Amino acid sequence: MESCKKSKSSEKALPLSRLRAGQRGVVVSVKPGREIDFDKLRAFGLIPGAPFLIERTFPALALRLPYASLFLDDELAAVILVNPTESPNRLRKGRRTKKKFVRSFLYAKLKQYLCHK
Amino acid sequence: MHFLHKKPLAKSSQKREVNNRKVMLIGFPNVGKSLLFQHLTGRHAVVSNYPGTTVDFTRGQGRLGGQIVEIIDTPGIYSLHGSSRDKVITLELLEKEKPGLVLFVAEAAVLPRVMNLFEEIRCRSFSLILVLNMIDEAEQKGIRFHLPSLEKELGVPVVATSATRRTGLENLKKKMAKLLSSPEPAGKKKGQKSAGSRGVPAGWLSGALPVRTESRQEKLHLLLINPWIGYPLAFFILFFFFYFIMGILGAGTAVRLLEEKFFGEIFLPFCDYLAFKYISVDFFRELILGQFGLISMGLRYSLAIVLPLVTMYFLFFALLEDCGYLPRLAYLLHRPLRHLGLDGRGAIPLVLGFGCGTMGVLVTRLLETGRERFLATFLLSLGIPCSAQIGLIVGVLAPYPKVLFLWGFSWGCIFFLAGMFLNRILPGRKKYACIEFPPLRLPQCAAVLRKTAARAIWYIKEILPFFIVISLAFQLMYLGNYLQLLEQFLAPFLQHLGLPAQVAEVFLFGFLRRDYAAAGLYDLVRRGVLEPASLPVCALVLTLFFPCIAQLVITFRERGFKESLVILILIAFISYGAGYLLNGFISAVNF
Repeated sequence: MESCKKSKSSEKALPLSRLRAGQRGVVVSVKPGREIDFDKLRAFGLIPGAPFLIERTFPALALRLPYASLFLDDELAAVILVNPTESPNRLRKGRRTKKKFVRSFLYAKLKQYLCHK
Repeated sequence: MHFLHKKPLAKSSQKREVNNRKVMLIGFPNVGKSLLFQHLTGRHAVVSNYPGTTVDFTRGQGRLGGQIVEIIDTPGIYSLHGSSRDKVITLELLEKEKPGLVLFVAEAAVLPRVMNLFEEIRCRSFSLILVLNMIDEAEQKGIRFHLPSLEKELGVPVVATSATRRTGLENLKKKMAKLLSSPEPAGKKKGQKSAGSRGVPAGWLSGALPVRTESRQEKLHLLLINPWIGYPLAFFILFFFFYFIMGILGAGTAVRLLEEKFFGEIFLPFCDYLAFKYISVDFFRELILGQFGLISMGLRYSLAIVLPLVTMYFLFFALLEDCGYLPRLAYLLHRPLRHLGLDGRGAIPLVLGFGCGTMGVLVTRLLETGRERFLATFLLSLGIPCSAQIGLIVGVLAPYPKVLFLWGFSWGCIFFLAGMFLNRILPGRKKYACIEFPPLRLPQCAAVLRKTAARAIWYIKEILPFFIVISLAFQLMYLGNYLQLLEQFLAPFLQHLGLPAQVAEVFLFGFLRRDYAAAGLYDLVRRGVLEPASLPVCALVLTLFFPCIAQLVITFRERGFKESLVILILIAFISYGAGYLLNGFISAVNF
């Protein structure tokens, strides 16, 4: 319902989770999914076209919308596509890349350790 | 395709039979429905500053222009369709009660947000009043309403109120009386006229781009949710409260004053005197004043030991609730709680559970899925000691800081490990969390006191009978020598934990009432039966062991037989295993 078809504006849209604290933007769409309570998002005003400001990204993503201030799960932030209004200098790494990086680092260490043994 | 066979929805144009003596309050969570309900009926309903305080509907009677009407308070909802419990309750109520008037309560400052729900209710052609509550806050933010044009736009009467300051209430009552006495729903005709423009007026919700304002509230909000400040602050608040207020002031001073001075030196001797004078049968005298007697234990424990602690906790919690700190705490605890299968909202029942687990189990209803409710109930039963218990345990352990630390550390570990384990093995997935921060508000003294008093009275009403019955049962068992039999039965189990047999008594109390158990522990240490070395094991197992009977009853009622049984079995294994391991650890390192 909330996910609109790809328009010009959604081409450069990013997941909300990639933005940094202090950045502003406009919501473009929300990917549909069973885990998402759209009624609630609508009630908070988190709908396409809504401007927002990111207050914090850790320990969870805290957002300010025109009529609400709220916080989201990272997974939910990953399926909300937004258009940042200010061009970001550096984006946050995606959750998966971060995890992959940590994991590969640990495996390398472990391998090193085991080989020495 | 089953949905094709669904019954068509009731047509909105059909005339409804309505009951003109009924008024229902509907609206988003945390907009002040319950406070409005209080003012309209004079009945107390618990009011706080976080979404989802009202988990069930409340009925009350109010007087409107010489007529008595029934007023129904409902849990807050975001939308009428959906399967969550609150929505189902509200929808069923709307269909069943057929109220003659619906008061749609909205927070004035964020009115555009509620328009979807407003339309959903207006479609059902109830006569409706839009109540713009918290108008004072909106005015502070510089938002002003031109009510006549709003009425024209929406086609329903609009009233601006401030339930906390009690303004606009007379006007509201007048309009309510007028609408209830007129047979035709007043908003209907106009509502149909504007039917073309249903839904949110274009551009309302997008509003202005939010800017970082420098208001004091905003600054405080940012400070509270900053982990570098928020976590130490939360730790400091809880530690300060539990250690100094509950442990030292509560369990130390207040309990000693009430229990030893008042009960020990004045009230009990007086009862003794009366009993010897008027009761000639030994058996009955024992029943009332024996070791586990009605007055000597039931009344003394409940009124002198437990009540002051619980009241203090309720006072503290009411302060936290009303200032809006709890959702900020939920934000900070969101990440750790997700490992336990809950989200930030889970912090509210868990923290309330520190006051009274029974109340905590009731509040798990504000969680959305059955899975979350099960997990929260499990954690409440396993690892959240109630205020009375925690106060007494900390009071008992306070002279031995090392023991206190060991107890706290092992308790935390077990709590998290058990929760994470259960979260892993339990099937099902949760909805993504999206939780609102309500504005920070200064708590109002009168409201806090009223709420504390209401909860304390609830506690006395709900718990005192249990105390009396339990002490009676214990005294009978004691007189019939059954207690010794049970103790003998439990003694070998306790030996594995390195505890003396008398502790069995405490554990039996613990099953009946957790705070009883802690009070028993207090007694045992004072008499010197328990050594400091076995204290952490005893305290840990007591903390983890079965919840009290009151909580058990509520758990069975809320979660059903099967789930509750699973919870109990898990707890039995975990608490015993944890005690065994801790005992092994203590004897290994020669504590």
